[in-house]
Amino acid sequence: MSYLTEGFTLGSWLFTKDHKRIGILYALAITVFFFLGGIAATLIRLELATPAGDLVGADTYNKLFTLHGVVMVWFFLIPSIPSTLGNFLVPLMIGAREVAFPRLNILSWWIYVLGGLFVVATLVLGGVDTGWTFYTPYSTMFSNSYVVMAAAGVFVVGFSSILTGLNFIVTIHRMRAPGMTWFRMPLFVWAMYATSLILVLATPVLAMTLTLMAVERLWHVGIFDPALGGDPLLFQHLFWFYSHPAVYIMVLPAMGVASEVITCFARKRVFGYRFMAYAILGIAGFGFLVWGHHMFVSGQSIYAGMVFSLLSYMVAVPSAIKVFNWTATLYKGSIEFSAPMIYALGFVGLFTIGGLTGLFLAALAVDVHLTDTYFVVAHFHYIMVGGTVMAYFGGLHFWWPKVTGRMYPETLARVAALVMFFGFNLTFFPQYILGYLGMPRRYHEYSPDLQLLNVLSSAGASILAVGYLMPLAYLTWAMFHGKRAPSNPWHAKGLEWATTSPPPKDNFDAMPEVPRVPYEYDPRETPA
Amino acid sequence: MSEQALSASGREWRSETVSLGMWVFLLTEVMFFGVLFLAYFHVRHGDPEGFGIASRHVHEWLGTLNTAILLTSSLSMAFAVRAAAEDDRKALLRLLIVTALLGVAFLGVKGTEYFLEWNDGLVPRLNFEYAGPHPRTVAEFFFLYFVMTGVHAVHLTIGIGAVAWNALRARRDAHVARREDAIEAVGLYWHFVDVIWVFLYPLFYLVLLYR
Amino acid sequence: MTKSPARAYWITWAALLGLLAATFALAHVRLGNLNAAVGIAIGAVKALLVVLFFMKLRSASTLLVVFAVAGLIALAVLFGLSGADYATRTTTPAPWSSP
Repeated sequence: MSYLTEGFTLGSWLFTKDHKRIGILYALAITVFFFLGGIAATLIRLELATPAGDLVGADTYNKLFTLHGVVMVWFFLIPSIPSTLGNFLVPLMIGAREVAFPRLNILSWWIYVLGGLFVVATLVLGGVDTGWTFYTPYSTMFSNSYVVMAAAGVFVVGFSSILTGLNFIVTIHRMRAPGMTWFRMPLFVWAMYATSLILVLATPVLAMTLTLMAVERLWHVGIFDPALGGDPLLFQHLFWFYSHPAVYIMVLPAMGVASEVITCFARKRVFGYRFMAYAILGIAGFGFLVWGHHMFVSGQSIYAGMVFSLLSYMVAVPSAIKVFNWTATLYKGSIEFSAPMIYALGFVGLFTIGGLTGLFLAALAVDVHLTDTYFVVAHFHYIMVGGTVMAYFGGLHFWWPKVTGRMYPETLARVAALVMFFGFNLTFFPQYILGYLGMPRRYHEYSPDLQLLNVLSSAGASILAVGYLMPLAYLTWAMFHGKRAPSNPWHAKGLEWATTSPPPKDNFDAMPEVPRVPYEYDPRETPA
Repeated sequence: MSEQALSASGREWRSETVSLGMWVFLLTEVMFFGVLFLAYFHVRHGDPEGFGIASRHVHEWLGTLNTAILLTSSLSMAFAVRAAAEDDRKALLRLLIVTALLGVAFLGVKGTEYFLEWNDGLVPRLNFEYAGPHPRTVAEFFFLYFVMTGVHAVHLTIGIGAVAWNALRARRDAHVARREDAIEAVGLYWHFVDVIWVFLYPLFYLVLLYR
Repeated sequence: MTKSPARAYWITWAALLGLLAATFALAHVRLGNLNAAVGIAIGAVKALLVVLFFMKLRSASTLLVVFAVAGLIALAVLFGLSGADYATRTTTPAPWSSP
């Protein structure tokens, strides 16, 4: 009897209090939005295949990249790993039977759906064109699109994030199995904990800021319009106080996934476990101190810019610790290039490129040249798509046997991982060069001498699309026809592998024992 | 494990878990209100003179009375939590009702203030007839005043609802100690709403009062 | 949770009302820039009393104290770093913008 066979009615899924089923509900919902955002991205890349604005007009183009940004950030990336894999795995990994507040957990999914409906309504009515950042005064005074509706969607979905974060924090503090001390927790759980802290601290700021923006748009009273005595930069301060840490909401869980996968397929203990945990908390903490680097050319004080620049460089320290430790984990390991491992290694490489180009942008003078160019677009896509999405797919494959009780087709999965890696780089690497050459973001036309690189990028996007459609097809197939999975197909050491695949409703038939960190791998031992 | 069979230690464990959840929630509330406080300081710092002039149009006696009402409601709430822990159903019911009534009284006074300010033409956008010096800052002051006290009033209304709901449930329950975790959480929320007001009070009512 | 004695609640309440009277009275005295500081400081003391005694943080576990303080730290970051901008920014208003 597994959690999957506990009930077959629609109601047994939609009103479930089982964190595992809620994880699956989230996975289905974010997949819908992933492809919605993906369609917008496809149209963007199609438009940019030629220098002329021939496929869509400027207005439509604005709406396309705004939709792409809003959907991908709030309806895919933020909930991607925490709400799917995190919901499924956190209680399993710490030896708990459920989360601390199961009812809040399913409420969080319903709130997500409600927020999603607002975004769909925005799209149906005619879209929004402010960019995902909703900058004032454009959003409050000039835009003729459905700004308030879109902001309402983001506002609502924020509460689903808050509830998930709150649940994880309390669960990790209060529900750990006997013997599961803080420094015996898997790094994935550490990452979820740090992510949750950011979710509860930053999301309310966004919610209130968007509310004030909407009030100012609707009634022309507020604090962002200089004519009323306000300041548009106040909006940027508040927005980035949320949105910079939001980057770490996206990438910290990815780091957690990479740590679990790499240690397993290198058959080696994570190098520097404690420093990995500290680095996670360090990144989460520093993440709150650097938002001003999004505002270097906004008219912000140059002295504040210097402070933000310096603090931004400091984020590189814990990030580098993590990259070095993953590399050291691989050293003299017995490495198996399984599909999850290819994704995880891809994550490390792409995250490193994305992180290093972040240093270019953190430099005040260089940023003046690169602000709002494709260099920025390439940089954050390396972090968010190369980093988070690669890791999400890696985690999906790694825990697929545990979630569904069935194996995925390994060869196909490896091919898909490589296609994704290749397609991703072909899409976004040319954008670094484009940005360096001065191509600004958010325009539907560009100078003809930039066409070659843009065509390469669009070609890459089509390969990337194939890379995403392949797992959709074979994972769906594997859900029903895949080979039955054993409890622990990877011979991994975490608690989640100590129960059956798929787990029973209450996770463990007997209360698990936790004698040590779950990374007791030995490269000399070949798993049977 | 059924709710009735929950042992005393299990109850305490649950109570601490719910308290932690509530404190984390209050953390999000601190950040939520924090945005408004930042906006407040931004406007006040921009024109302290005009801000002082604006604040002479609120009714500081009513604000002070309301502060006293809310602080007293926190006292009765604290005693209500204590009554729940002692399984004293009668006292719990009485204290919850007193708390909710004090909350309603606060809203009544607040509503009176809003009514007076509406009559004075001090509501930006809807009814703003102020024609003295620093009109821009006065409008910003009242915008912030209505937003911040309004968001606070919404929170208090939710609090009154939660207190009333718990009173209703306690009425039908022989062993109110079982509800300790819920009442403890409502208590924390109630005190938090009180704390927010404790800051709103000097920021809106006590500016340039000596003029 | 440890039970606080009823006396402590009454004393807290009396202190809160005393501070309320004090802050109201002091606001009528001309102290210059100090007026605002005094108002906020007394507010902070009142808030602290509520948090320590009514919300029982005084006898709560370290964990709850950490979460109670975390919000203040995050707010200090928000106010501090955006304040660093406002304190040192030079504005050049357009000729047509009203002062």
